[in-house]
Amino acid sequence: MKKFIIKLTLFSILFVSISYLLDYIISTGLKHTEEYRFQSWNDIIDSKINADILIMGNSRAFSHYSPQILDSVLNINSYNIGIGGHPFNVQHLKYELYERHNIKPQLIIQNIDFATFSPHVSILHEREQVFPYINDSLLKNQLINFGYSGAELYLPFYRYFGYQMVIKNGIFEYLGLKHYNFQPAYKGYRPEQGKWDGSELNKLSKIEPLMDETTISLFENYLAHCKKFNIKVVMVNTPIYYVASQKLENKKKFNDLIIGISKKYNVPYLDYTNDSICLDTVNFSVAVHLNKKGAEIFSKKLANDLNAMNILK
Amino acid sequence: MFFNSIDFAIFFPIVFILYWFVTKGNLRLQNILLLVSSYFFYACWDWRFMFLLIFSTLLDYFTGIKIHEAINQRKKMFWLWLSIGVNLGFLGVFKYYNFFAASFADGLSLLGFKANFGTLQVILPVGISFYTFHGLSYVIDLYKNRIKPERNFIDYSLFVSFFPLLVAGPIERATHLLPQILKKREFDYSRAVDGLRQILWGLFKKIVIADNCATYVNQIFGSYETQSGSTLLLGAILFAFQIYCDFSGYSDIALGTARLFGIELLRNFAFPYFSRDIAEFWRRWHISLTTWFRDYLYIPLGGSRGGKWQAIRNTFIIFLVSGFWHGANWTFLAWGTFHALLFLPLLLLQRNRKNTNSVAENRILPNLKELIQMISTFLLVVFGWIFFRAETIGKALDYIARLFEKSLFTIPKVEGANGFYLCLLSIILTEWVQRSKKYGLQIDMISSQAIRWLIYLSIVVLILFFGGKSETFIYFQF
Repeated sequence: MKKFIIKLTLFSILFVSISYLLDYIISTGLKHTEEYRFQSWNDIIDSKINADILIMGNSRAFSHYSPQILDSVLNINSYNIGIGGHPFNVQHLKYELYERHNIKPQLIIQNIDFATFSPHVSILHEREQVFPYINDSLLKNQLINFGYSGAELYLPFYRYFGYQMVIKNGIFEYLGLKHYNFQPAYKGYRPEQGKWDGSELNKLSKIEPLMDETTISLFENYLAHCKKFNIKVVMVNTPIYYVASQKLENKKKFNDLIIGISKKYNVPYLDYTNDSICLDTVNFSVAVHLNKKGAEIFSKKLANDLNAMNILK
Repeated sequence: MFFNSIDFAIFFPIVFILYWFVTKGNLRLQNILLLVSSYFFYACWDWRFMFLLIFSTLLDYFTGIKIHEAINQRKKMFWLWLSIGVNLGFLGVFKYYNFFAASFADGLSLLGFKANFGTLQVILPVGISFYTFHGLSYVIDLYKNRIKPERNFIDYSLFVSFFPLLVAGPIERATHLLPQILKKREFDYSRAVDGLRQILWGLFKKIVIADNCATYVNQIFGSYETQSGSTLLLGAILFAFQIYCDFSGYSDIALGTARLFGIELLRNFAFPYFSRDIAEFWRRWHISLTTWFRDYLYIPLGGSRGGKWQAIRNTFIIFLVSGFWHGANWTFLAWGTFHALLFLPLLLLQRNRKNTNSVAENRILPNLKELIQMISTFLLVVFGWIFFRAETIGKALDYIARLFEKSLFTIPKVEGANGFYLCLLSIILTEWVQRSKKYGLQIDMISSQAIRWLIYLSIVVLILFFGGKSETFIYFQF
């Protein structure tokens, strides 16, 4: 038995060492990629952003707001940390990490829409996007509330298990065999490339904005936090194709909620869901996502409006 | 709690340490510990089904004693049929009621009658087909006076519920497992190492081969209407490897785990895809089930002793029941029928026991005849798997019809599978080289420890690199 235990221990030590080594190689490699899943997280962790204007929200944030246009019109430095597929609780986690590693912004453009106040969810969409940064103490403490298991957070390599392409990309990047810049984003902005075909709109019977109390409360705490640290916030609802807009339910209740928050925290609310951009499919890839052309028109409009509001003065 | 889960990686070492270090070789304590662990293991799936397992155990325990104590044949028979009836009754309700109700209603509607028997909203208790068969073999063996009843309830319960085999076999026999449960077990270094090796090999087959195959198979079967004939053929071949590596991988882990507790379970697989005919395939595939049906169904029905027609009838019965055992779906019956049709000619021509040795024994490579026999047998088995994998008979037939289109002679397209084919090739070659052993990684003949460890670590690295997204074990649904 003694011999068995000694050999088993030795083998386990070797196994754990290999796991740590692989974890280090893959994580380091991924921290050097410019692939869209990891790029903005890399910039945040490396304290590279320090933006004057920070754009926050879901996929309608990262694909609608062009920092290039905002920078050129407003003559500032902006960055888009939008995170696709998740409501405010996940967006807030990313913001917390941003604040921890970067200088606080002067202004936050907070994208608001029907999905913002959905109930808290785990990170399910592209959950590998946080894998390389799991040793950051904020993420280590928080991710357990976002659907990551203790084993994923505390065991070496375990979280990468089954993500074969991520493993390969990390190793290749680390060894310098290949540089990954698949769909690179410009300062977090990644416009939609798809072309309008209307099929998704036909399948859409209704859009129901969810207004979860816990999410709203978290949002209000975040606004109070921004106010405390003198960070201006402007809430923006970006264009939706007008036919889809007609399928929005509880419109009044949702608008009342936003306007109520806007007044309570003295935060401007810019609603573009009735803008002329919404009338033409040429600006959209799908009903709720602008394409590149639409996003650029919208970004210009927003930049001009912010300019007119003198919000950074 | 899956064998390939982090939960099991915590559970198993704890049980192992308690078993060898805390019980200090006390057999009674060891058996109690294994039983409690087994119930905990089972409760992790769904604690409510514990009651069913315990009821089934109690039923067979008491009917077993009653069979033994019965003063005449009629009473013996009564207790035997009580046990069989109740056991199969539970299996019928949980596994087959909905199928029969729906099929009967469909049949009546074809005759112009309207019927609705309602369906039960029940979940199939995991492992029910396996532990029911454990219990049945016990009472039948008692009835046939092959064994004496086990009067210690803990020992008997452990025979039914021993966690490595509880949810997906191998289907054990009281004659094989009970004596081991009753005997003092000593730690044996080489057996323990052998157990670990077999676990590692099982994990490799399950995690690297079966789980990756599952990804491609799901893609192909999920969109078979748009795939070329060659891709459909590849999809069926990949499913053949998926189900083999999934189930034999599970069995390897079960056997290895049991061996670490000093218990030998029945071998379940013996490199079935190197079979030269269907009869040989069935001697090498899911051996514990095949032999169970042979001993408790085929032989009691008269086997092939009563002439040709009886042999044909019994062959069909055994294959249909075997198909139906897998699940309540016409596809499994079609799969069973297909194999019966393949098996019958061999039986009638008395060629079913022609290939009882290992292929190409004492040679490195097979000769041309053996190669052709192996490939043709494999392709027939692959063909049968289409019925097994398809959701309905209609879809299976449609899949087969599309497979034989002109596009069969094009290059199959499966995205991102190139690296995986190397893994697949590696397992085929390894199993070929090791075909005379009990499992692929039985490398105790390599004297250099450094080389053995290098092989183990390479497999670990392959598991880490090529591990597929965690999938459940296919046979857990049966």
